[in-house]
Amino acid sequence: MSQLNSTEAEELIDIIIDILAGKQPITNKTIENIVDPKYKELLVGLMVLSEDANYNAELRKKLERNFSNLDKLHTKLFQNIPVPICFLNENLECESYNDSFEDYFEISPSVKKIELDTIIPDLRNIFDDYLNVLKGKLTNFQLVEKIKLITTTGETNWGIINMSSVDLEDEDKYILIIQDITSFHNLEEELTLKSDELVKNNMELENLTRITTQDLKEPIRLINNYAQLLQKRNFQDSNDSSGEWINSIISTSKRIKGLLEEVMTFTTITDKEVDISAVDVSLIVEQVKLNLNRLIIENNVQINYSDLPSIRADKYQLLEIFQNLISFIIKNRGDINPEITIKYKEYDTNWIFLVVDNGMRIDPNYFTKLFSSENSLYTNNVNSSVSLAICKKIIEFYKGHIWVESNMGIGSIFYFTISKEV
Amino acid sequence: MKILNKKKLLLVDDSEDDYILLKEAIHDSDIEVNLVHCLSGEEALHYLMDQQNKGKAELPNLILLDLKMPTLNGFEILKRLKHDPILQQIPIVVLSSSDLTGDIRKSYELLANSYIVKPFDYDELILTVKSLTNYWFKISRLPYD
Repeated sequence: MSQLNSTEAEELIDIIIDILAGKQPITNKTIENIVDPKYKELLVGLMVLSEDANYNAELRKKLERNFSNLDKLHTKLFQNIPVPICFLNENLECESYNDSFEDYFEISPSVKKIELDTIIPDLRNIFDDYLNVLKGKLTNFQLVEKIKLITTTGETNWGIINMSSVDLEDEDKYILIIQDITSFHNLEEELTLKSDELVKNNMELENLTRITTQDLKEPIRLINNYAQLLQKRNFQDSNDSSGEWINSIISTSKRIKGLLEEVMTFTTITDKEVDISAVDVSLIVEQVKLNLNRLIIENNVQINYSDLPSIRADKYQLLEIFQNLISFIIKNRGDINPEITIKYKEYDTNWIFLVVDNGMRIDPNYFTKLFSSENSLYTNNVNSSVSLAICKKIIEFYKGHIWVESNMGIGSIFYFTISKEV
Repeated sequence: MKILNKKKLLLVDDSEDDYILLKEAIHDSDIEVNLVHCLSGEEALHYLMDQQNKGKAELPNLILLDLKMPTLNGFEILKRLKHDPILQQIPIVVLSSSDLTGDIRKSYELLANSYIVKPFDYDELILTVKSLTNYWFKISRLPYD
């Protein structure tokens, strides 16, 4: 091993300092100039170290560049996303917000700090309630609420806030994202108002129907009474048709009375005080047979049933269903004597009743109109044009349905369901 | 003796038709009744005051009262008559075309003695007149018989 002279030693030290300072790269030429293999080895080692250091420095620079780019991207995204967003500290103070937030709340750029309580006045209360529910544990939470929002110019809007925690190592932060639903809210309010108005109008209409039907019964009663008085006084000439005409007045009066009573029943049937209790359907059918006794005898009607159940319902409403259905069947009878059979099936949540006849005349084309209150197909029959609409209204009160299947001239089956959960 | 006199029946009803029909029904029932008609609540109150001044014997034995009348309706008349120490003793039968539960309940709350819905058929009206007069004038005992 040769000794370096002092000049060579100083030069070598300068080279090493420059290399270490990164001022001069170690090249093979630099190494070739060194004669002593021990120092050559040292310089080769230094060269490797230097290359690693350069590589690490470049990597760090690259990482810093990427991080900086990411930060710029994040800032750009945060600022330009068209959704109002702000970051809150643990005291619910607004630390930063994006342009959309600024625009939404009409915050002047000169404003340094915005008081959250003035623009989202209910947030603190909602947050405190939430805090109480969670008993102070606020990691990884997300709060979604409909809330009132007030711009700095005093305009009131409505929005859905989505507030979630950002769990940083050294502090708690919250991110607040706002979705404006003012138009939906206004629409909803308008809809509620319209709905209330509709309910009010319906009530007024029902009252009007009630009063009108009640008032109309008065003149019809007088017409009927006078016609019967004329009949009693034999005010008719055997040479003309006055007797028949008086009879027509009387029968028409009775028809109008029947229709008015139907309208009255339809209007009030589900408004009356209902008394839900266990009702034996067999007893109801027996009562219907008594009430329709004359009609049943005149039309030679056979009504069959066996072991009908006891169900929870209002007995008067149940009576209305069976009476209206049975009288409808009788009044629309075919050529043969009506035979009506009442059956039922029990399901977990409801009862289904079947009222089967042997030849009622219903054209299947009218099935859909049959249960509508607009229906007036059977105008020659008192108590039939609204009677099925009454059935439908009561059945719907019991969360049920009514429908019919029919073969012209062969028979029909009326089905209706009554919910057990009344 | 009062029993020799015809019973006095007061109809308070703004309908002339109902008066005519009732008169005819009384006629067809072969009942001897002195039917008086007041067309309004005010007229009925004046009439009753007048009769009271003449003497209790002049008061009607039974009042048939309609509910729906202009200005002073049947409920008002009921209230006033049932608050009068003398007139409250006259039985009042409400005779109305209304079959609304509310009207029926309110009439009894105001101490009506009975409530009848005006019959739709004339024969039914005759039957009602017969039943009413039979009950109030024959079976029942009244304070000024």
